[in-house]
Amino acid sequence: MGKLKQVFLIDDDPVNNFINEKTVKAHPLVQDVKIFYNGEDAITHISKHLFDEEISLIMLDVNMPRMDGFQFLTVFTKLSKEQPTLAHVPLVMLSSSVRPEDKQKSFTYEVVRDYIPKPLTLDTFDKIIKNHIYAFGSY
Amino acid sequence: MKDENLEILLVEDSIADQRLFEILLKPTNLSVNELWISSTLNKALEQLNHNKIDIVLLDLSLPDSSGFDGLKTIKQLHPNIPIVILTGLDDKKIATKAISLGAQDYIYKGDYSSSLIEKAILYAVHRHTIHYEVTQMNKLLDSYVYSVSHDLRGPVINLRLLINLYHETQGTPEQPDILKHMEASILKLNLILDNLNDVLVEKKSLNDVSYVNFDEVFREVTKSLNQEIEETNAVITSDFSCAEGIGFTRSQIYSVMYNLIYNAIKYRKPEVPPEVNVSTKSEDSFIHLLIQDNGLGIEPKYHEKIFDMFYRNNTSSEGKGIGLHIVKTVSENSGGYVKVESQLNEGSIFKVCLKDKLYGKVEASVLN
Repeated sequence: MGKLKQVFLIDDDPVNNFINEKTVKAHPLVQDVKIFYNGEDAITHISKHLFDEEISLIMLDVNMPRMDGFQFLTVFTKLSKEQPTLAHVPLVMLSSSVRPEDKQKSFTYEVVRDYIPKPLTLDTFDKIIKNHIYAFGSY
Repeated sequence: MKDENLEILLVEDSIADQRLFEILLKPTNLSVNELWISSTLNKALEQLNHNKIDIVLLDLSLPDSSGFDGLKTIKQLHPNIPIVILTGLDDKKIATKAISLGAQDYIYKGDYSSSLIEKAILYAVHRHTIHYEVTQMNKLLDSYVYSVSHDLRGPVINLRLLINLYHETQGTPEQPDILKHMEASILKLNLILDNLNDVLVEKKSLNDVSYVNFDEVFREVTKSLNQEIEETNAVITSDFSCAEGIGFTRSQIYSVMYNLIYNAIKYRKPEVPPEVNVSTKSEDSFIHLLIQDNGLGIEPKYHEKIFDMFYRNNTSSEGKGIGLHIVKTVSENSGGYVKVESQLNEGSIFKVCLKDKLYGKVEASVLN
């Protein structure tokens, strides 16, 4: 099994990012984690590094300033049509929202693989990797 | 409460009873706009679909329904219309059953009189309105509890995880960082509690009315928003020449102005210094408070939603989500309303209509 070169965490809350980064980094298969505080920054970064960067997994919050999770999903879907390698990047929603509407809405985006309620534990993260990364045999 | 221009629907198949009801209804003091009569349940349902009926008087034995079927059907399709049952049988069991199925009252036709009909209709309409209001209130409360529990969840979960981390990192240079994050989570919890207190205070101070000078409140508000104004180079202007003051609860006027000016600054266009104008207009016993800005603007589809409790604009997560709800509660409790005129990227005008609680008594209170 290959390593996960880069995991993207997109969340506006510094405390969430701090904890999630710790959790994700604690997984033996993860090499590196990048943090973005809103969708816009993440999109800017992704479009700059379309050809020279490999994203192994994106974990996305719903409620964020500037560009929220859903707006990010819309732009990311467009981007992944232009750049097919992005289409294979597993994207998991990580949300504190317990509203069923948010979950339903998330799954209307094709790129969304899963919807995980916070907090993210090492166990949950391990399951995400097993279910959505290695299950597809891309590594 | 609606007890004027009543639209009454009588569902009764006996022509004689229909006539009798009409005759007895005439001399009552009820303000009746229209008495609709249907002789079958199906026709009644049609009437209910096409007219705005305020109350239904329903005979229990109809050609196309018997027993409580009609009551159940109408109740299911039109839960918000009060129903009074009419019956030829003087049976307490039927009465109790009808009430338990959601009927407001029960009239035994043998007792028919103008005063009985009048009382039954009037009380049924009033009771139903109260019941409806309580139901709405409960719904609001439910959504409120839901929002609060959701807001508390995030920081509480984080604190739990941070405490674990704190123990795991004992003696490492990371520990101070973890403490900082714990502090941040506690501040967040505190903010939620403060907001909850705002809501409670809002409900308690309803009766404390005095003459409130808009300019004084405006100065206080801009003073407390000093930091935000300086940071954004905001220009806040005011014109209270049309209405200088209002009989109201001072803290509520403060809260309305504060929230609207704060929002106007917060939802500014990037790179454009906010310009906010606060002015008043007077119209009989109502005073309109207008807050106009050159900010981001709001798409028309959100114009209603933004006033919901704990609604948050998509572009911000730090919002408390109750500011505009407070503005709405304050204006509506006074008998007024709040509305917004805005288009995306065109700025917004918030119009808060407030009823002057000292209207006609203002001069006396100024003299005092």
